[in-house]
Amino acid sequence: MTMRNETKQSGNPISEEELMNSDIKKLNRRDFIKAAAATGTAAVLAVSLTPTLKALAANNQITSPADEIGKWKPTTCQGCTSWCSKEVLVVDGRAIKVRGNANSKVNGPASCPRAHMALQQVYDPDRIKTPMKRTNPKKGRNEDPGFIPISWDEALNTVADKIMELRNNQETYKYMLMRGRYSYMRDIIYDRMTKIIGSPNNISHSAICAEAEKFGPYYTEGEWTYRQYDVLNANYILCWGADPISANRQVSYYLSAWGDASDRATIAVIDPRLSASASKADEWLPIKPGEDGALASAMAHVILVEGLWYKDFVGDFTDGINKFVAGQNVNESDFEEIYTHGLVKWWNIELKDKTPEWAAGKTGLPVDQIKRVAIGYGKAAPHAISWVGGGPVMQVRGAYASMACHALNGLVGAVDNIGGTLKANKEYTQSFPGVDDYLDDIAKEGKSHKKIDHRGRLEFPALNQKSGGGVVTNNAADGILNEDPNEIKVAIGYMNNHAFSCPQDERWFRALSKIPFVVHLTTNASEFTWFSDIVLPSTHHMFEKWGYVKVHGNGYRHVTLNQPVIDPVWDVRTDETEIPWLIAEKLADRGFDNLLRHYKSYIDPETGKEPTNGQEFALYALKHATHKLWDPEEYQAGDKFNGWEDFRSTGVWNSAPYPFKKRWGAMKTDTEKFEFYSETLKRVLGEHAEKHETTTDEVLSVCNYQARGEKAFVPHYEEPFTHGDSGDLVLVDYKSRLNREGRSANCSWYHEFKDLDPGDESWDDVAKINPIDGKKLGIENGDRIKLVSPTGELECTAKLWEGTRPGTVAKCYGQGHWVYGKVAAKEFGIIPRGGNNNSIIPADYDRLSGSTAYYGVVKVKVEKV
Amino acid sequence: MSKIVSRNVNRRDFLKLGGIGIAAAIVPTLISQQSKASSPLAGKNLAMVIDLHRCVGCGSCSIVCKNENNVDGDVFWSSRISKTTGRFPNVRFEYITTLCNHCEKAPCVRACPTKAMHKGDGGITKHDPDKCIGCRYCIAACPYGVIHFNAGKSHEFWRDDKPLIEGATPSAREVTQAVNGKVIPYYNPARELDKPGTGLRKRGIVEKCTFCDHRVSKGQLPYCVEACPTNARIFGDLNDPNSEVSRILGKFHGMRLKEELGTEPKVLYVRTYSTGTHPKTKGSV
Amino acid sequence: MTENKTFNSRFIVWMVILLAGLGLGIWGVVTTFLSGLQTWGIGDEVPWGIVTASYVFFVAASAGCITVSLGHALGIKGFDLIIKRGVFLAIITMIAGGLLIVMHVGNPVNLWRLITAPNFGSPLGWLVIFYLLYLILLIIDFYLIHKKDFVKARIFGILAPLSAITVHSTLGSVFGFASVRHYYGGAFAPVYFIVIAVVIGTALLLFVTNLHYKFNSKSMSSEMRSVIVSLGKFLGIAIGVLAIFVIWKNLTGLSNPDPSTVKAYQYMLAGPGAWWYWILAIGLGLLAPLILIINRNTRTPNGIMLASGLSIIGMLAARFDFTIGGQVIPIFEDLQHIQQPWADYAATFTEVSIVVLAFSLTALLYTWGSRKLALEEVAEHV
Repeated sequence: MTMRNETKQSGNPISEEELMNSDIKKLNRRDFIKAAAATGTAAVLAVSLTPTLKALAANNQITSPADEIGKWKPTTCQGCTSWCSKEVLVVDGRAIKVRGNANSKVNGPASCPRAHMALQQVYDPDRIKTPMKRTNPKKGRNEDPGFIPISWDEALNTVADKIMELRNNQETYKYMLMRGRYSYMRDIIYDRMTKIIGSPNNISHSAICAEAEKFGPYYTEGEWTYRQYDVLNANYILCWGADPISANRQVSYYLSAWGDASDRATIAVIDPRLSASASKADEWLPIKPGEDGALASAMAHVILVEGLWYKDFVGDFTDGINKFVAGQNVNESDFEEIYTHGLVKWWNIELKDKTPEWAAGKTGLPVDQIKRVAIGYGKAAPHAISWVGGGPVMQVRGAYASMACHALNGLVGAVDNIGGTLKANKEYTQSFPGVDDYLDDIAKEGKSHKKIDHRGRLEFPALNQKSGGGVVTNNAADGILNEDPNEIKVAIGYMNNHAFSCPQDERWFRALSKIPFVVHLTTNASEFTWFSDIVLPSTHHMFEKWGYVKVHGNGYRHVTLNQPVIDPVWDVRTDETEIPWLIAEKLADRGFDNLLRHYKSYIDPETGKEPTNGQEFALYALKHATHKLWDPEEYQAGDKFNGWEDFRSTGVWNSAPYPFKKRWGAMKTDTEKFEFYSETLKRVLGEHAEKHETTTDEVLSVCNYQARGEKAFVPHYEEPFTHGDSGDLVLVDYKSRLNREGRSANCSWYHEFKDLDPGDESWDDVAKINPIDGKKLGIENGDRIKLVSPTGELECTAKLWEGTRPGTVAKCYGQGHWVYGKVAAKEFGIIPRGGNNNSIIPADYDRLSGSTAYYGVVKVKVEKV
Repeated sequence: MSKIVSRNVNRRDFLKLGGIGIAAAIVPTLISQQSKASSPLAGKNLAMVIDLHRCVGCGSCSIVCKNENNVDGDVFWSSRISKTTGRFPNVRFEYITTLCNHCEKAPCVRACPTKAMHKGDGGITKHDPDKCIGCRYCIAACPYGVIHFNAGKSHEFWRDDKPLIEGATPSAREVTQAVNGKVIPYYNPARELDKPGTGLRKRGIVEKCTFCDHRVSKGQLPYCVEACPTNARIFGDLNDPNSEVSRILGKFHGMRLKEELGTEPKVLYVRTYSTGTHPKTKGSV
Repeated sequence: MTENKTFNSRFIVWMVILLAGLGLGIWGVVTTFLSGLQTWGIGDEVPWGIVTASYVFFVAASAGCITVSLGHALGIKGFDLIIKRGVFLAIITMIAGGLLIVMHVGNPVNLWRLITAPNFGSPLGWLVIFYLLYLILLIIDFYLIHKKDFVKARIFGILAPLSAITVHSTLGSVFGFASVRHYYGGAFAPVYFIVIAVVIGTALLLFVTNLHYKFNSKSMSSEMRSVIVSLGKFLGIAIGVLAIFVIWKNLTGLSNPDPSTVKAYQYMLAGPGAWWYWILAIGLGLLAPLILIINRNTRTPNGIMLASGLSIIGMLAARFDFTIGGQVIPIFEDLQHIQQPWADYAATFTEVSIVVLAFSLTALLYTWGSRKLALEEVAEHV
């Protein structure tokens, strides 16, 4: 923050009056001579002359920071899902700098490094400035689309015609909407528009994010959500593949808190590679990929055997004597639980044999380290965080790792507790007007078809709170390719890039080529765009768009606004609001006005006016959604504002502080308790099995899990499932602290600073191999190599690095674009810069959550090029 | 001289002459001292402390520095040294952020033949682009590799006028023109407020970190300090015993790069990048 | 004895070559002024390249040539025959050096500040003043010799070499004061530069004198021959001294505890710089001339011409190596934006053309001087 401005010189403060009065002329010559003789002329002259000279100095005042050029305007950064509230310095209508919005209680003034590259994104010379249409009818990886610029009118007419064609043929279920980078204006295009057109196929991207992280928390404490962690009050922080000072959630906050947290807490990072967080931790547990469940089970075992569980939360033996002994069953009736359910069952079914010695064999970690971390963690109860990241859980059998790692929080009483794991605070945004009145028969019929991603099928339980409750994003490609349950004829994707961000990317090349009409709402011509027929340039979420997102951290939740802080640089429209409005207008022109009528119901809460154009629609929709936050008459809790403008100019609303322990005994699980034996999962899994007229065990078998019977309902160890047995090294994928999801590779700063990820190199895409493996494979530092998997290959540079676990190859995700822009691609449309990890990761899933498996899922061969 | 001696000089004349002579000698000094005193940084010896414990190697400092100072591509006024040491699994990754040290005994200042590189107010090692001949002696003399020579015009990337997709994407130059930027679209005009024309450095001269003198002279912190999300950078006056930097350096040893060279750097590193502790042990033979 | 002033075919070929070199050089100058030093191979890690190295070469040549005049001032027999040529060579190589230094700096419009307000704390701050002083002394010396005022000339014949020593040791201190670059030798550099200057200057004077006779198909008088041979012996001694310096510099460097210093020497002796260094700097610059001069059979004007010619090539290469050697190894291991383990430097065509310009200009000025200024005149001892 800025220093206080000095408005006075240090030294003798002289007032204006004094300056007037002390006049040189008053000194007569006699005094002058006397003084000169007696005291030294210099001193005399200094005293007599100084006042006048100081008057001159008054003109060189320090200017206050208020003189700073330009204005800081609030908005939101969506470079990652930290969704920080930011401010942008705008000078003469240009965005110059980015900083954290101090008004947010979640991130405050702190800003992670990726935020600054947003400037290079909004002013990217490779940004599309006008709609385009494809002139090359052929689609393929090597088919240049032959894009030519067209008007918005022509583009929208084409899109509307295609939608009307589906309506007229009553095939609206062959319409598909793929959601990418969204704000909470998303339902306007993702839900309402899809439903009113009449399709079930609104396909989100959540499964290629980190859905499996939510599986554990849901089936233990009833929250299908990301968590926030009270690190500043913790005494032990266990990070399972999480790298909070690089990626994962609320990076800005955790950056600012990490130093102080580490002064107080012991930090242990579990990751096959030496991540940034591991380098700033007390312990690095370089675990074998996929063996996190073993470590978690062993830790639980130790905590119970050592009697370190948190008695105030979990309960105790009725006689106070610890009967948890390795290898021995325990009587359920001997233990009285308070806020938890099924502890003894868990012990008997899973934990009793999971000793540290056993775990050492599985994980490749030293026994003494496992014991030390387990005991340290247990002793820190209840201020002991078990932080579940994406690594251990976005795997083929990751759902149970998610439960196992998260369950530790329950053992130590850290759930909803100070220094523990918390959910999101309550906020008061509201959903958009309902859609039911606008569904005609065609829509109702179309909506009732089955979704293209097969969620809810026997082999895709996707148990987000119920069978088929979650999306299976990457499987949509197979649905399209197999026309199962039906073909897709019209697809719109917005700010997504499945042809880059989904494993086995070439399936998407084929799937998108198959769809006769694809529309892409995007800022840059990305891989998905390459297969599109119409391209609609969209606004940049941070500088040109109205919207909002909500996120939690530091014990608060904030709702932060995306705001147009500059005029759109080009002829772009907002993906979630303006473009659906414009399409609605075109559909109305063609006799189908349901969508437009629906959108017109989004009136301005302040004036009651109906929107008359896309920009008004965007703004009114936003004001509607956030109404209870800014209108003093609707005030609920948290920050209070005078009205919309007050809220808008602050940029962010903060919730009330976190209500610790409120959910103890009131969790959204079937037992209302923290479930070590998940009755909730038992029920939901059972419902899924029943739906398919089979057993839970059959479901688990089809879905490639090892558990059978009771084990399926407790957190437990599953052996990792890895493709490519004949490969050399297991791929360890990870995310850069400079990744703005997949979209920063066209920013020069990304490449200039790529070495900020430990072990990586500027302007290069390196696969990090332990020198032991390098020697075995005959690979030297700097060699150009190919990583080859059963489903694809990529080319990159080899780097021998001690921070890599032997038996693995660690390579960052984010490079390998073969389009997107002149910097992101080596030769646009032809040669990628670096290699896309998704080219070598096979399309497989953690089917219980529907998540795509990124980690521990493939062994690759390393070949010299 | 002989003429004065021969004349009958009375006391008044003598003192008059003496006084004038002394005044003539002293006034210029006073005026120059006074113009120093009029600078808000006068008497300060500005330094930066970097807390390696809080630093997590995120690089925000080096990125925002480029933003603030309109620095060219692949040029770094603030950079980093990073190193991986040890054998798996006993490995550590360490990171130190680097910048111009504004040495008290700056080799670049001593080397510069035209005094373009000089010590300015606040003890900042400043560069005057009007005096630079581009001889690059400062670069040869600097032990820290922090000075950059502009061999060509900066920001070649942004001067390009070829669009990626004809008619549908702009060229780099078109972007800057469309938003009325200066060479780069996110051009920061604050950089040149003190000295117009220095917002971008011209071809043929050198440049380096200036401790954001354009901000510091207005009472604002250098931008890297302000933007650091972990509060690992602390700025202040070494001459003030109560400044934050003095207090921190009172408590912790401030490591300086290449201490043995005697350059007296004013960027000091406290604590260590590697955090935490290790299990108690006496080791073994 | 008047010079042959005819325009024979050999002369025409000579002029064509020189004018071509001049043309190429002018192209290089224009390219550099229009596009900047990005047309060169220099950068932040290797800020001083072959143009700088050539500048050092030319200043050394000048200082070395005029050292001969010291011999003349001390009354060494025979030097009176070559002194006028030597002084003239000293002047024109200094002019070429001046051209190179104007090209070397990125912003020459500010060069005047080196005269009005130099930083006297920097050796570069003194260098231009010494440089100009030296040039003035040289011109006066030549003028006096040309006007046959040998009494006054003798005074300048002493002052000029002293000034040369000042200039060239100051130039050495420019490198020496960059103390972080240990390859330059620190306190050792000024003295090292003086030895180098003597070698280069003597070799140049010998080569040009011999070439002059050959080119004009004249035969040498026996006095001239003996001067050549004695000067050749002197060259041999100078090379011998230089060889001792080089050996000890390398040995000391290799055993320096600072890793970047050792690496710089390893780079030069056994790494990517090795073939340049061993073949050109050592082989052609030291060994071949030394062998030719030591061996009685080859200690003839022809042999000495060959020796001095090889020495010039070798010493030019050695200047490149010296300049690069102090920069190529990063002064900071693991500083991320610096190339590791060594910086790439490859001279571009533009840089080479400027070096060619310097040589062509020197040769052109010499040609003019030899035709118009009677360089063969004897500068009598006083």
